Amino acid sequence: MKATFNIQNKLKLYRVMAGNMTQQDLAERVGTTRQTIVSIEKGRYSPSVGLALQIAQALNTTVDELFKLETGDDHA
Amino acid sequence: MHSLIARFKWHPTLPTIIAGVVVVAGFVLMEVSGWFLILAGIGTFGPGILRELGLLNDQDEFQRQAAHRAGYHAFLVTGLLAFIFVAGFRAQSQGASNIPEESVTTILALLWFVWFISSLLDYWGPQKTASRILIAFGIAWWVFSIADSLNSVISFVMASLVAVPFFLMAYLSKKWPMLSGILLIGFAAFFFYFFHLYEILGPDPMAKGRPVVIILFVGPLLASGVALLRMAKQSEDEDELERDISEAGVK
Repeated sequence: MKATFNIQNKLKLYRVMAGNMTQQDLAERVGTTRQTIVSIEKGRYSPSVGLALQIAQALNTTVDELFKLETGDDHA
Repeated sequence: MHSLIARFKWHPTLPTIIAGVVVVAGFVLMEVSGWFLILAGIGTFGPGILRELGLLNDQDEFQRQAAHRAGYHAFLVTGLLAFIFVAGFRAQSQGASNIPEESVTTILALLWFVWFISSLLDYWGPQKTASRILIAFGIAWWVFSIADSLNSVISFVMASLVAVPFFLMAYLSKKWPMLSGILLIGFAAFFFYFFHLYEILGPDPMAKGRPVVIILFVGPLLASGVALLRMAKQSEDEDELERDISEAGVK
């Protein structure tokens, strides 16, 4: 039995709530590339704690609000 | 040049552009002296070495992670091939110290190819990677067509038409990944047959630089095709999972 986890995020929702901020705007605010923001939103990349905190700060929210851990048991 | 590249939504850093120019210069000047090939090595590996030493800070954490993962993939694949080559030469009693240049070139080509494709797939994802590889292939083919048929307008137009399928498939890969994946693998198989690359299975596999041609010409099409198929399959699985969840919610 192997515990698996998946990180869900609400980045896109919070970008819209922050005045329709574009991915490029957010990327520039946190000092990263637009592709990195795209990949985080699509769930292809889980950011470091530091970048997650920076993103949360830029969107006036908390990391807890933005990212949610979903766990499950994989009966292999 | 920067704005032209930006039109394709690709924003390479200045060190990446400089490194690319150095690599191209190395390969072009190789005709003058073999020593110039060192420039290609410096352009390929120099920026990464500087980044690891902390002397160059032009990438964000996702780009660094993609590069590190790609490096590990390149290490695994190239290491395995190097062992097979050495074992083969030892078994043929030629001695491991007598490995011909073609084998070393093949290992270098594979090292670069696996690192490059893996980092692109990790960073851009299969669709964007496939689309850009096809655009690059289309442009390269078109440039060769121009160089080859400047004497006649008709032959230039006809030769240019060969580049059209690449651009068409670059567009298709964003719309229909499954279909594009199958077509790309078909393309790779066609080139393998059309350019007689299957002769690699014959008595002299290293002749005419076949392994390098296969790695650099067939490899990108095949890798993009397989990645697109895997992506399409995963999307289907996710859609199925979402349907199951929504049906469970309704009940």
